[in-house]
Amino acid sequence: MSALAAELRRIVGTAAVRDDPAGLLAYESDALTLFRCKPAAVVLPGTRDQLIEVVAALHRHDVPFTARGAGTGLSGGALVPEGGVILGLARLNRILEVRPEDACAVVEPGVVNAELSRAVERWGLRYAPDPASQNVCTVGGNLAENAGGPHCFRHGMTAQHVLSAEVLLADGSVETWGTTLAAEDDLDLRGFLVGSEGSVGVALRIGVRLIPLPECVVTLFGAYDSVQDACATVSDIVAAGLTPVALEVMDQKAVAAVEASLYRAGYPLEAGAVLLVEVEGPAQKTRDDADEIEAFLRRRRPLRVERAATPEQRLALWKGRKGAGGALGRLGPDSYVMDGVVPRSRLAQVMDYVDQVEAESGLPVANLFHAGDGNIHPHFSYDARDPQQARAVEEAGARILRRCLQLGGSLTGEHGIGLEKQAFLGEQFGAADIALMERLRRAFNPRDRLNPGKGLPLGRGCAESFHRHGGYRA
Amino acid sequence: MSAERLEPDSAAAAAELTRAAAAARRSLLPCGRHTRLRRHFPDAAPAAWLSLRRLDRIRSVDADDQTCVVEPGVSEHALNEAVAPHGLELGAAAPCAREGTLGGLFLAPDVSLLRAPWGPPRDQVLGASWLLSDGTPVRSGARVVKSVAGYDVTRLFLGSRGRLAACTELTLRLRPRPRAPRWYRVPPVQLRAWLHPDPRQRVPARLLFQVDGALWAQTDGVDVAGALHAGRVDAAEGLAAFERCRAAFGAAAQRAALPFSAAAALAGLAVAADLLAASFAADDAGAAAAALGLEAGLCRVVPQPAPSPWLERLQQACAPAAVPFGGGP
Ligand SMILES: Cc1cc2nc3c(=O)[nH]c(=O)nc-3n(C[C@H](O)[C@H](O)[C@H](O)COP(=O)(O)OP(=O)(O)OC[C@H]3O[C@@H](n4cnc5c(N)ncnc54)[C@H](O)[C@@H]3O)c2cc1C
Repeated sequence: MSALAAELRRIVGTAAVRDDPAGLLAYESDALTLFRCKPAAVVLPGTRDQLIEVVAALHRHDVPFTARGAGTGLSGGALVPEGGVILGLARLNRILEVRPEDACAVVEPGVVNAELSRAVERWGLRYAPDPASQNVCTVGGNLAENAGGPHCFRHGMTAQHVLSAEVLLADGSVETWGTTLAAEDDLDLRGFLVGSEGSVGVALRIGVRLIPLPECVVTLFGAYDSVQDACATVSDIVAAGLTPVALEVMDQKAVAAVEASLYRAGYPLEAGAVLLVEVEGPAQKTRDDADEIEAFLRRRRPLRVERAATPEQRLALWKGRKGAGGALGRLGPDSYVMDGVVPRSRLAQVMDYVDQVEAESGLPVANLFHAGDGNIHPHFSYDARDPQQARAVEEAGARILRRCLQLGGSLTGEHGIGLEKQAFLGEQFGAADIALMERLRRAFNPRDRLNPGKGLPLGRGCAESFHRHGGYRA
Repeated sequence: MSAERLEPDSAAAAAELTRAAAAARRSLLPCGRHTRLRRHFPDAAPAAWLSLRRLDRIRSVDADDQTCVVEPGVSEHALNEAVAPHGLELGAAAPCAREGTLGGLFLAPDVSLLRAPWGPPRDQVLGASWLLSDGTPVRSGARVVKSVAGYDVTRLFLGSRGRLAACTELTLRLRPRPRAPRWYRVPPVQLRAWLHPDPRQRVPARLLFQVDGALWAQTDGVDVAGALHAGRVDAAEGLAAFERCRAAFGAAAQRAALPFSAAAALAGLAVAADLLAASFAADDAGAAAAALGLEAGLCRVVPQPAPSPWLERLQQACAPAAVPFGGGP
């Protein structure tokens, strides 16, 4: 490693290579603290050319590496097994080009999601994917995880907004996949790259689609006795052929956590669930749609209905939802945020099951979910230092994921498989499907040096070689 | 095109034929009804065609979840007829709605006339079943509207024009039909309203197309008559124009497009532009521009995509021991 470390320092400068214990601490896990592993070194290239040179050096030394954006991933994606190197891309944060008339931009991977939207606002544009972590997470990390967010019910996931990527492959070669021009691709390699969890290539430059800011936005709020009533209201709205941009539900425990935090939004504590609905578009049509939605919100005996049309009122309604992640994080020493999907019509059913698991495991669960998409995020609070609790939380998670699959759903809607869900992939896909994915992975990443052990149950370098439950305490 | 045409009527029969061809080291090329083949594969010469057109059953429609499972030989028209009673439709409109197959729509380059509201066709595909060229059946994606489990094999295979896998089933997202469709006939010069440099000033249209020297637009519940100096027409007239446009587009061997900077302004991106050029023959981009009142240089012919250097490696990865699909006689 020392010869490599010296070479890396020569490429990026001494301060941009960390291999001291203190410097590595921040890189031993992502936002899923269930898994930890200390890398051999962290390299923070400041330019695209440095990054290319670094990967060429890692290739020559046959050292595995993992790209890392902001480390907000929730499936253990941005870790590297012992002996590996982390490529921190946060310094590659330039917006290289904005073509407002083409409604697209080209950015470096370390650009923070919300900053991109802020930067293009003056042209009446925005970058649509809006993960709740958008003030921190990077466009590169979004690409790798195919991130979603509250507004992807209408606007789609990251895959629908990445037009092209300049890709650095494991052997140091650079290719461009997709295009920001009106052209056809022979094979959709760009589509395959998005959501590949950093194991196909490192995105060096990303061409993104921008969409116009809406002329008018209305946010509506309904508080209900039960999660069931909130879910049924969501179904009413969708069944009427309305397509709001967002349909978000929080249960009572999530509301209680938010109301006890600095994200207090005035949600009623007595509600079993609250529902946020947002519509946007041309002014008249948006107001008409909002009227109709309001009528649906009033149909199932709501405790309260509100309608916000000014930006301040809207922000106030969203404040609790946007802050929920942070508020829930404070409920216990450790959190485990899950990510499962069911057909929307099965939401009430899976939430009943989550309640049952909560009762049986004795671990508190709060729920917030992208109801329009059937995407649930049960949030467990536990203490990782208690091995019994740590085991219980994993077991409870496994039961919920299996239930999602039984109901015709998926293991993950936006957080990825990472290290966390590898063991279950064989329950969603058949052996031949996974074998095909493995062969495809090898076509791009033949020696598995690029983000080894993630995304697929590969056996070697898999979850077991990472330390679970904060067990790593050097 | 004179090669033998295999036409299995089930996924199992297709697998059987594929395995037999693999054993004989014969290369097959999956296809639908050959409606657009001349455009997508001008020089294809497989030992035999594997047509999936007889796999034409609608397996299930889940109206509550707005998804459906169909075989690839179903036509867009047949699917829309089946789901219309639920107030739903496919979020893509192909040039060949009746004659073409959905397999052909999704396995071909990403072209849809409904791109403005719902994005390119591939965004409507949630999952699929496939046969690899050695006859192995595999599944990709999921049945729910959102899943990032495993690699996005669906997207890789879609658009591959059958050279990586043959599609035997598709799980699709369905979209609500427009609740208050309004049709307009627009003076071509008003195209500029869509090209306004400020995206907020652009007129929202679900559909915008050009045929017979006129521009047509459809909105959902939005009145654009004033903004566009456009005349409202009844739905029958609008739909008839849309069908004529589809036909013209389907018949064109090549398509011309406005450059992206203009096309993107249409919110429907490149495909709205496809449509604008649809009624123009082959490479007559200049005429397309003239009819729209734009400078001649503004329209250009979209070139056929350059062959991907990854094709062979990926074919090898899909079925290491077998002759790849479309790999020549
Ligand atoms: C409070 C909170 C809320 C969240 N809310 C959401 C949400 O609403 N929706 C959602 O989808 N996610 C959400 N997440 C998860 C997370 O923010 C997303 O997965 C995000 O996309 C990760 O971005 P990042 O920059 O932090 O990536 P990292 O965590 O650093 O990396 C994630 C993966 O991307 C790879 N990667 C990073 N950069 C590149 C690159 N340039 N090229 C190739 N691979 C790369 C890494 O190797 C790793 O596998 C949330 C997380 C938190 C903590």
